[in-house]
Amino acid sequence: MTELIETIGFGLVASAVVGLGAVGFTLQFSVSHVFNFAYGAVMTAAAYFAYLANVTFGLDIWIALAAGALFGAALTMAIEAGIFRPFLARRADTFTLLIASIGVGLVVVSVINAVAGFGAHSYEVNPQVAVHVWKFLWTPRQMATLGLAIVAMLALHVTLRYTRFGKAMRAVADDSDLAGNSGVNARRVTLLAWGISGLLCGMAGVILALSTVSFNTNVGSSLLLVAIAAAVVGGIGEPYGAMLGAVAVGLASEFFAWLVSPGLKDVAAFVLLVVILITRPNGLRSGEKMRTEAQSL
Amino acid sequence: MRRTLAGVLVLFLIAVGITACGSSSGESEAGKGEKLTAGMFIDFSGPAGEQANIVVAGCAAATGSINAAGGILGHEIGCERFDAGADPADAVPAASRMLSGASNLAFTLGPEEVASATAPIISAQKIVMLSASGDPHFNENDDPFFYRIVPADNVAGQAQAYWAYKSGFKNVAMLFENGSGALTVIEPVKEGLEKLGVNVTANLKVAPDQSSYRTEVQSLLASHPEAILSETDPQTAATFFSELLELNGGQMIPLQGTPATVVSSYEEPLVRAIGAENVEKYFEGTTVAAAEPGPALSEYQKYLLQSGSEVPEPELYKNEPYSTAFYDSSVATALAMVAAKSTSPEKFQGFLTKVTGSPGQGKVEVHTFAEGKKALEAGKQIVYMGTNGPIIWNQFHNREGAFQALAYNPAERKNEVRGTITPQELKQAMGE
Repeated sequence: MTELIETIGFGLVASAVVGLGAVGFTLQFSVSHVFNFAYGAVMTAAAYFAYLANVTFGLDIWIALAAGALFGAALTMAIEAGIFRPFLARRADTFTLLIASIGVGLVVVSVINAVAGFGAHSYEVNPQVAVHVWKFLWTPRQMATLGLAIVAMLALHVTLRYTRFGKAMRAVADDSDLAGNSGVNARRVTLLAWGISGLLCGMAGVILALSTVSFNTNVGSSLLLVAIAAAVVGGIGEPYGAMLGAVAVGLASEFFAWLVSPGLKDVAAFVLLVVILITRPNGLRSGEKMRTEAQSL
Repeated sequence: MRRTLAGVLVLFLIAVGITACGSSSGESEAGKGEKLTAGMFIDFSGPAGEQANIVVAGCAAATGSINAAGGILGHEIGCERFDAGADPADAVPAASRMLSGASNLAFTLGPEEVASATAPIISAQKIVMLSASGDPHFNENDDPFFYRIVPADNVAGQAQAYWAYKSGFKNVAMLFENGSGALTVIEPVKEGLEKLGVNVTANLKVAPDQSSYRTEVQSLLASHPEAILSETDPQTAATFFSELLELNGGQMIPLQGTPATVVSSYEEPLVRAIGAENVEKYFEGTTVAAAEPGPALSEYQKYLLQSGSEVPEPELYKNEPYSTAFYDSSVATALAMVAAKSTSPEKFQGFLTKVTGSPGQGKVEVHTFAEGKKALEAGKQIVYMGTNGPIIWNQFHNREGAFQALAYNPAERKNEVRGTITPQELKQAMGE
């Protein structure tokens, strides 16, 4: 029983990191319908920016995390405005956008490699010991990660549900042309949505680098496919679905490692993906719910 | 139409002719006074590129020593880089480019990670390969042109098991990553431990580069091992062992690694993950034995330090066992050419085992290329004694050798010897 609860605890921490990544990814897709493979590279870039803030400038790791998140937001908005918007304006097809995103990702990672080198890096943080919180076994930093993820999800929920911007975002997600005709500045909303997504992406990148202790330029790509799997499990384009998907994927990975084989841990997300898509092709929460809500505007 | 086809055919034949003229084949001799090439066919550009200078150091020192003694049969020799990359899909065309582009390719240092894909291509051109590849495919190598210059990974696995036994551990956990490099040592380590009566409390093969291993750490801790035998990539190790500290009340468990772990690219992230004190106190790794002080090592170090810009930070490689292995095998190959009186690999490759091996039988012991060349020119038979003693090949062209257990000194950023395992001692322990 103790092992079961501890495994759930580990899974929740993993879900927090995956959740930040998955929600950000699905947010981008919801407003632009772009499957952005440069997302992992932005996570990496944010992790390295936080490294600069923490190690080179000596800032506290939580301030460095905020800096990394803001950098992620800025970089994502630059990519949207400079790369994807021109393609979308020309009605580029899905395949073209996919290839463009892969190219952007490669360029970002190559630049980081050229500047920072291929070697591993680590943040300057004090080691911690796990403590029992009820029957869960967490370090203070992991508890902070969980708290941060919960706060971020709540903030996103409030934004989407109760703010004009959130309603506008949902309208653009449903039909950007119709939203534009209804007086919504679709271009501005899309850019800001990408900014929020970049913020989440940056947070995910820094927290991931912090969790792994030692990271290199593969850090973002190691989470990217799992985050995409979580987003698709939840229903692509559906932020609440991505949150659910992240919890499912995080727990599934830890249970897989515990009960099946540690060597197949990273397979768990994709096994779950296949099972969910066979039983619920649109994911745990399809985009239907969002469109229904948008229609209520 | 016919004229177009004829034109294309002529151009094709010209291209083939140019390629053939420039290509390296082990059947041909170098022209008088032409420079020979020692091709470094390894991963220069990928993440493993950080380790490339280990090979460069060996090559630069060897060619420096050889050229200072007047070269090989009147030919100077130089090292040339050919980036094999880490992916066989890139390495195969790279090998073809090397074979067609290098002039007077005498031998190659490498291939390494991509050896199983590229060795047949290089061998088909009858070029001698000096490789430290751990690919188990070469444990029973039948390619006459392929020489493994360090003991095989399965022997390294036995050495790791033996060191754990010698350290007094009765119950150990095994932690290896689910990657091809580590998988070659798991079975030899496990078999070695069983032969020695050491109990394996947990045998974990983990997916590399995960964001967390807490579940796996708990499984390992629940088995109560006295020590952990491990090989993973540096990032996996950093994540795993930092979480082990977190979940074990800040207490580290003795960690024993393989040759892949006693390098700075593994040790430095480990220091950042678990602290310098823990690394110094709890970490050891077994690896190919380093060179011993003597004339061969002095010669290597002399020309290493004279290598100029060819080798960045040459001081780092003064006692690096893999660099000295590449140096020794390059010098031995050069002596084989002198003994065979030929620069054609097809002719000299059989002499590599004749200029190396155990001393005695009336052979003159030599420690440098200059000494060997002088003795051969005087009509004597020689045995080249390398930087860590005689170079003994088994029937599969795999080198037999000693192992050492090293501990890392974070303050001085270097490894220190904690013990040595001779080949005889290891064979006896394994009941061979």
